[in-house]
Amino acid sequence: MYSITVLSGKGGTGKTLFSTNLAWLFHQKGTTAQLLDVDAEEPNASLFVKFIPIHAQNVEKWIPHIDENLCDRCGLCMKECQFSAITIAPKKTAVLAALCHGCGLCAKICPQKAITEVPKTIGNIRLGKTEEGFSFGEGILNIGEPSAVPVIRQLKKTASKDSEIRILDAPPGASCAVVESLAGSDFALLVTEPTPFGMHDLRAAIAVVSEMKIPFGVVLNRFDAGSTAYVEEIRHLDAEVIATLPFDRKIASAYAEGKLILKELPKYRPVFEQIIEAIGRGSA
Amino acid sequence: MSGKGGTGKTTVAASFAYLSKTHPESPIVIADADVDAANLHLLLAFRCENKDQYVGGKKAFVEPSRCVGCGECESVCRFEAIKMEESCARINPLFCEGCKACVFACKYDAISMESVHSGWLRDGSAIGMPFVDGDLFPGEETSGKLVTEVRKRANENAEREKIPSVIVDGAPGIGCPAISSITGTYAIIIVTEPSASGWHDLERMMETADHFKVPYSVMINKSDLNETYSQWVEEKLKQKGVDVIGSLPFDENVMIATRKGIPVIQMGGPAAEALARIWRTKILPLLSD
Repeated sequence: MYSITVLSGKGGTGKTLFSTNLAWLFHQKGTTAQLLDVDAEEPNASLFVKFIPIHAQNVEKWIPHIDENLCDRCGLCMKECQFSAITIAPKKTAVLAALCHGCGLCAKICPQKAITEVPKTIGNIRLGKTEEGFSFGEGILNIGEPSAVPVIRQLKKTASKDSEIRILDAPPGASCAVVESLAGSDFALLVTEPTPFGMHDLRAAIAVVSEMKIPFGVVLNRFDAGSTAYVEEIRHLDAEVIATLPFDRKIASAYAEGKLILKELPKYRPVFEQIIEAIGRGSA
Repeated sequence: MSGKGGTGKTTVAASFAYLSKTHPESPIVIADADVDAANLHLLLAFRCENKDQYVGGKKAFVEPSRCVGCGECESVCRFEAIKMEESCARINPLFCEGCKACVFACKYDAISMESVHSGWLRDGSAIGMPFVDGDLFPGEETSGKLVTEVRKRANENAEREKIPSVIVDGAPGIGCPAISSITGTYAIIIVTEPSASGWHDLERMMETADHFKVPYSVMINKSDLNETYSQWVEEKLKQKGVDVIGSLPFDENVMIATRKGIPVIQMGGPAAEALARIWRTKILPLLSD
């Protein structure tokens, strides 16, 4: 399985547009494809394909449960917890579940063996296929939960590895959730827009993929007359612009209605063919 | 805030900041809480006067001369950050969450925790007003904590300068940086766009705001890109009793202004006019509250 992560740094540059249409095009061309929406905070890919869920499971984080009868309030867990997730109050040892990373340290070091770990559901994953025929999965973080990392990890692990191509639609930014999405990827597709914002955040995305030693290519979305200077700027970052998609109100409007651009506006197919070709070169 | 990225948070925040300059009776401090991709400084001629190292947390480091390669650390690490290579533990700092479980598991004292410089907390001035933002290094953890630092510093500056309000350009999503952005906030303005994904993310953002009990109202950006959807969104929000404080039309001046590095309000045009109207009728009363 060859895995491609679509990321951007800046939000709203078109990650989901490129990942959904690429998965569809791979499938059209006879490659078995899988699309995983790992933007578990705001998963949107299923708005663009007809998702038929077959399997769903909860994602759990293991948080400490303290047996008040055994706890002698020695304070070791509170002292050692690196995330300040345990507070010892006069009458009760309280667990702040939102801060807990589920590392299991407290349970291991408690001298009284007063701590066991209990599961807390923080989200869920759904796996299945699309009506269009390719494999699909998405992760959904529960409202109020701080970290999507365990959801991303479980989705990537549980999803079938039988497809030839896996495309991951990553969250915005360049921090832990993006790193988790990229882990084990063979290629990263960096989507950006020709603005100072797009460039600024592209630099962060390039820094992450470079540190993880993942080959990458850049796609410039909403390309217009004022964009050429940005192609030059990207070249100076030692990066290659492998394709550009023009600014077109028709694209925006099809996208707004949750439609695949390649179905609505087939004239843009060569842009996506170009990306597939460049990915092929990157893997060679 | 926005939930979905790219809906126009920074465009709106920069223009509101610029407008409050024209009303010295309601001064503000400006803060950019999108520490993963901080862009507000690019529109407001930010002059950095002070840069503090941000130390988010600690990470585990192996002393190879002490490591015997037993693999205990690898087996307790739940973040797949440790791999044994040639009988020595190697920790991948990108995956280490700094929990210290490996330190306790190691019988040979070969692992220790060290503080890591994970970014910068910057403050200075922008278009004549105090400005604070955070710059998290790519791939780092603890973005929520840096957001908290940004907000804290902005509040301190506000108190020192006797400025009553802070405008925060929030982080996208609904996870830690977004939650930290809205913590302790008086009111949220959610910027959305008329699209299937915009609506989906707006709903999750509103649920998050409800969960943390912070009041919010909604602004629809690029409303004329899809009139039907805009009306539908507005209708839906009305049914839910959510205050829609206004709409901005799609306007090429936004792109032109962004490329020039100025807030669109300085350029003029339909979006700027709408922003000025919303600011006068909705934001100014909020700031003078």
